[in-house]
Amino acid sequence: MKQETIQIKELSIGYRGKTRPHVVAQNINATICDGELTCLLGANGAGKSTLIRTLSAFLRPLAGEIMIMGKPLREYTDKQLATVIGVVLTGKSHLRNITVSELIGLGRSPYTGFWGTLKKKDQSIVENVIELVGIGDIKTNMVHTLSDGERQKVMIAKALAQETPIIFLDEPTAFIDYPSKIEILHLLHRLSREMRKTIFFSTHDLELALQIADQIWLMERNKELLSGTPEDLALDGSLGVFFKSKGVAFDPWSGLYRVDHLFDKELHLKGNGLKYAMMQKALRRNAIYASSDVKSQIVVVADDTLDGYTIHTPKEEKLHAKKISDVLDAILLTL
Amino acid sequence: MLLLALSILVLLMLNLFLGSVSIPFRSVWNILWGMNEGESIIWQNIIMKSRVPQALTAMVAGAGLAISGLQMQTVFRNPLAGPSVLGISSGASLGVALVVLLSGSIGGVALSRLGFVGEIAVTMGAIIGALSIMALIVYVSQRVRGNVTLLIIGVMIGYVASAVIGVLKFFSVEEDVRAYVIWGLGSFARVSGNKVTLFVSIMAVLLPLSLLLIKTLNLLLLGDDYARNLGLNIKRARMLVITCSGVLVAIVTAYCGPITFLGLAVPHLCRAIFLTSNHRILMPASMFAGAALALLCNLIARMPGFEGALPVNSVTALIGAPIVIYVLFKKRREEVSE
Repeated sequence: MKQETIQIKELSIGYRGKTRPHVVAQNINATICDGELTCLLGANGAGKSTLIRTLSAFLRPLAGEIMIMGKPLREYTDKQLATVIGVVLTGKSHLRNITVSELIGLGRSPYTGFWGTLKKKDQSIVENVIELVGIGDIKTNMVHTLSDGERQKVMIAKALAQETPIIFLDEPTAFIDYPSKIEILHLLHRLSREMRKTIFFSTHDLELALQIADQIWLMERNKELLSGTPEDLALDGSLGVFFKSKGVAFDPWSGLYRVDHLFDKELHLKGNGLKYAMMQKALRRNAIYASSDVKSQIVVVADDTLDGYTIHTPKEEKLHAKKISDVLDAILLTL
Repeated sequence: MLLLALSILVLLMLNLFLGSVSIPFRSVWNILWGMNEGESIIWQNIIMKSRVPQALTAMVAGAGLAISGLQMQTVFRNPLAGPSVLGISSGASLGVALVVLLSGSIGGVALSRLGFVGEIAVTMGAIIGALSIMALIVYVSQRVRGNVTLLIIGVMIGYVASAVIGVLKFFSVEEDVRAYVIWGLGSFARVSGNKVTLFVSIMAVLLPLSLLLIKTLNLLLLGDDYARNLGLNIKRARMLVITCSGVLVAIVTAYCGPITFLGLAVPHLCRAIFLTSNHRILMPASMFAGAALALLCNLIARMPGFEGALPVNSVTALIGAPIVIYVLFKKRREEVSE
């Protein structure tokens, strides 16, 4: 049974100015549950970082209440909070000359004594999270020599070593390559499931978030915060409205965004199977709507059972092509 | 680390055995162990009243300045932070300038003629000056968010202090200005007799105390947000570190005058040698390396030929400056490659 570990009521966030507060977002009402991966989506300037910083107690809320594990956030001391919330922040750190295991060991600080010495138990926890996150091969490396993706994993491991039921991550997938993004989101998903952690993160990677996150929060400037499973948000049209702009379309059938091509030409495409689909995709990218139900002077045949591709020109010529790129080269000029 | 401790021992010995007056090895040894029969009274005086206090002073002063520099660099996350940059040394100088220069103009007596009372007044002036600038910085640190802002304010305070000193000099008796300038050159030799015992015992308490901040400093390495998330009270931590560092500088400066560069250069040297930012290693390492380097500088300053005339500050700068330049170059290269 999942539990609501974080409850947010009528929350206003922003910065206290000298004369009047600068409100970034207000009237936020939502809950975050354990065992689930909750993802915060929103454009730059929507207040994603401000929200995460407020929930992490780095910023005081302008109004409203945040309940963490049934207790108001403001009643926690720094020390208590260190064992409840772990954070992974955005941006590069300027840490130098410190090894991966040393850094992860610092995650044990809330539990270590005056000198910060790691006891046997702390060391075994550090070893465990290193294995869990899969960074055993780099554990003796210096942090500043790591790739951005590896460094992000190390910071996640630090948060895990902190042994907090809640982990907040501010754009954990920023600045890293695509496979590493997927790897990190998978890792977060696994942690939420296997360790029943409450994981809340912000990201700009819509596509990945919609596929991996259990709950999506949509944050927009001057609008109410929307939350729900990606599927529910797709069905009620929220996702379609949320990211409506030229060149991007929300595909309700996959529940994902895709690049929306504007077609200016049509092509009769015959065939079946994967080759047909790929040819269609390649043509779509070139603003050509290709299908078996449109008529055109040029006809292209792409079929899994045939070798290569065939182009029928208006002059009844038959051209053979080995690759899709050859087909494109041949027809893009004539169409 | 063992090597460092060993080099301290060797340098300490060299400091005791070498000097402008050459004294045979046997005699030095005998005098050190109190076997004074048959040894010349002059030699006894040179060893016990000059070389021993000077070596001890250099050792603890170097250790204190190095620790202080390390703490400043970590808390401000700035490789160029150091005791002299934050205006604390300038505070001490201002205190001394006030005492030395004003006593002449207002009191009508040149302090340089007052002897022992004058010495105490100078020391007190330095301590009070350094501590009040430090109090100012700590006060500002509670109000200002960014570390860079704080650093700039520190530098500004330093400028103001120097300017006030300049004005004071202008209105002072020539004799006093000379006394002040000599103080400003810095020296490990000025501390003598009972003052050494006092100085060394104060530092013997303060240095181990500063080691208590190891965990705090390591957390500060992560940056304010991560540190706070790990349960550290940032404001208090910052205040504690600045206070600790400031008191160390204040005491050292009061006794030895403003010694530049050691505090800035030694932590960089240790990071380069031990390839770590972990304060569990860096703190003792800086302490040892600071002591060793100060002994080395003292030794060079007293090399035969200079006849004790070479100011320690010139030597520390000659060793320190290349280190700082090296660090800057290395940093620039990394920024380009990143």
